[in-house]
This record gives sequence, C-alpha cells and structure tokens, in this order.
Amino acid sequence: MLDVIARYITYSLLGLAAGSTEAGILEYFIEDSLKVALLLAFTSFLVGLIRTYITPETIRKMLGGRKEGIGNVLAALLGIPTPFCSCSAVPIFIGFMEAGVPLGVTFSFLISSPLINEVAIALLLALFGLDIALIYIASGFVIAVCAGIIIGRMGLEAEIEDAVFRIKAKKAKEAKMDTRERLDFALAECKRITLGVLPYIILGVALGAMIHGYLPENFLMDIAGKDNPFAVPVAVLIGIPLYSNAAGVLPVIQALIGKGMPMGTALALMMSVVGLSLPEMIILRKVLKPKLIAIFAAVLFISFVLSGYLFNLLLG
Amino acid sequence: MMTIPNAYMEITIYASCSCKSKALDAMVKSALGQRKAKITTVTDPMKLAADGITMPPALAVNGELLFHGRMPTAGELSKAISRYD
Repeated sequence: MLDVIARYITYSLLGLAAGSTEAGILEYFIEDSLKVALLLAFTSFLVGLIRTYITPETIRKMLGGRKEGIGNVLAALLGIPTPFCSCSAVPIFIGFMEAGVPLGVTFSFLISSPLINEVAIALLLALFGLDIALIYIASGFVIAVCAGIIIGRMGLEAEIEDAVFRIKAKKAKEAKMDTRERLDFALAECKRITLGVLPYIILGVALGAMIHGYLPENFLMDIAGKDNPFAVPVAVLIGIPLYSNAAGVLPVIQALIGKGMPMGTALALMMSVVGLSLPEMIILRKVLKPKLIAIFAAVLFISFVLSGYLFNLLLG
Repeated sequence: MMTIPNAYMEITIYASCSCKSKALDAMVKSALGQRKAKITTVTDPMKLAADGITMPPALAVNGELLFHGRMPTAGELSKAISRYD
C-alpha cells in the first residue's frame, strides 16, 4: 500500500524518470517516512496509554526493597514504557535510592529505559521487521537485567556521592486519571512524539536515502564487514559520543546494513548510541563517583560488544 | 461581561531540560489566560529530587503536585488550574 503511494508520488505526481538514481532515492524516502510515521503514531499512542497506569510513585513502590533477580527483571520491564532523557537520570537515581531500591535494580531501570522505547520499537518494526525488533528488545532487556545484577553484586554502594543520602525528598502525591483523561493523554502523547520525532526521522531517512543511492554496494565490507574482527568494538566506541535518539540513528543504520554492515555490528552501534551516552555519564557524576561510572560504562560496553558478535554469528 | 478570577496561584514547573520546561511554561501561560500567578521553574536535578520529583516533568500549584512523570494535556491543565479560581 505504502509502496504504491510512494511510486504514485515519485513517478505520476512528480514525473521522475523510472530507473534514475534520484527517483530511487525519493521513492525509498517517501515509503520509509510514511511507514515509520504510521508505526510511530500507533506505538506512541499505545505506550502513552500504558504510561497513565505506571506513575513514578507506582514504580518506586514496586521496586522499593526488591531483591536481586525479580527486582532487576521488574525494573527492566518498567523502564520500557517510562520516558527517559539523560537529564532525568539524576532525579530518578535519587528517588530510587530514597525509596530503598537496591543499586543493581536501579541500574537495570537506567539501562532499559533509554535502550528500549516506543520510538526504537516503531522504527525497528518499520525498517527491519518483527524478527529484528524482537531480537533487539530481547537483547536490550537481557543486558539491562544482567548488567544490573553484575553491578549489584559488586557492592558499590560506597561509590555513591554522599549528597544523595543527605536529600530528604518530600512525598509526591499524584492525581488519579479517569478513562477519558487516559485516552486524551495517549492521543496527546501520540501527537507530541510523532510530530516531535518526525523531523529527525525525515533527516535520518534522507541521509539513509543518500547512502542508499550514492554509496557503492559493499562499500563497508572492508572496514565494517564480518571479516574485520574489530568492527563490533569500534562501532560501539564510535556510538558513545554520538548523542542521538533511535529516530535519528536507525534510518542511517538501515542504509549502512544495505551497504554491507552486518546486522550484529549495526545493532551494537545503535545500542551504543542510545544506551551509552557521554552526556548521561557526565550528568550521573552528580550522584556517582568516577569508579562506579567507569564500571557502569565498561559493563555496558562489554554487553553491547558481546551482543554484536552473537548476532553476527546467529544472523550472519 | 467576563469576570477575571482573583485567586493568586504559585505554580512550580519541574523539568530536567529546557525544551520540556519551555513547553510546559507555554502551556501553563495559555491555560492561565488572564489569571494572576507566580511561575517558578525548577531544573536543578538535586532540587527536583528534594521536592520528590523522581521523573520530570511535573507541575505543582500552591504546593500541590498535580502532574508527575508526564506532560499534562491542555485540557487537563485548564481543568486543574480552574480548580483554584
């Protein structure tokens, strides 16, 4: 259906010559943008609705005092529908510590929340299909749970800044919503996220379309292909300073895969861009001592590299 | 003749980044209309945590937290603010 619309706009409406590079780029761009926008609107509505039931206080109550294992699984699950930006990492961390959430469980939440979100899910579904979307979600979830357990077992509570324990937070009382308000909120979220993210997607798809149209086939085979054993760690390292969200990075990754980058390397790069950001590490310095930040970054780096190799092996 | 409510409100906007605080500020001003209010914006992460805000954005009127962890809709905000008239 969307391919018909893309072809109609490209060839009938704009009258571009069939088989030309420009026409190919435009057709690819229109089809991908429409597919992504529709899936994004749907997932952001659904997640918006779920979000009305999972309030910050509910999360604190559900995770407070939870033991290792079940606590990490629950935290990783609750992190998925919770909106997250690097700037909110500090209040989340302090709020969780105050509620008695164990350190490892807190990290499971802090890892899954940026890594798996409605924008990433919608884009992965639109650009790569259900199988790859599920693989990404499952691996992100397993990484969040395992990394949280590892950090929890290392007994790093002394590496939390003293200021965190000096804060005596007021109790926040939240208002209840009725069904009408929940639906209104989900619709508003759908509009806000879709319209807010769309410019980045269009930019990403446009960049991806350029790569798709102009970069020679198998261009990346030598530098990022399966034969280069260092491609995965290098991709993860490149992703750390690239502060972007799934919306901007995924269309580019799709085009890079088309030019010879293996799927595992591409997924590891994406995980690094969205889940291991330099600004978040800098912000977390307000509440964590350098040793804990370094361990957090190292555990994530190793996890992303291992999943990259694993997926290259399984999907290759 | 339109009546302008006299109730004075102290509104606190809690946000962790400037884009959310600006968006919420614009929504609050639109919902306020001709009402008088003192609007304070808190973005310091330590102050957010001290005020019990675990997941910004949040909004409080006269110390009462009305929204936490999400952006309110325009309708919700108008309804909530009109309670203080």
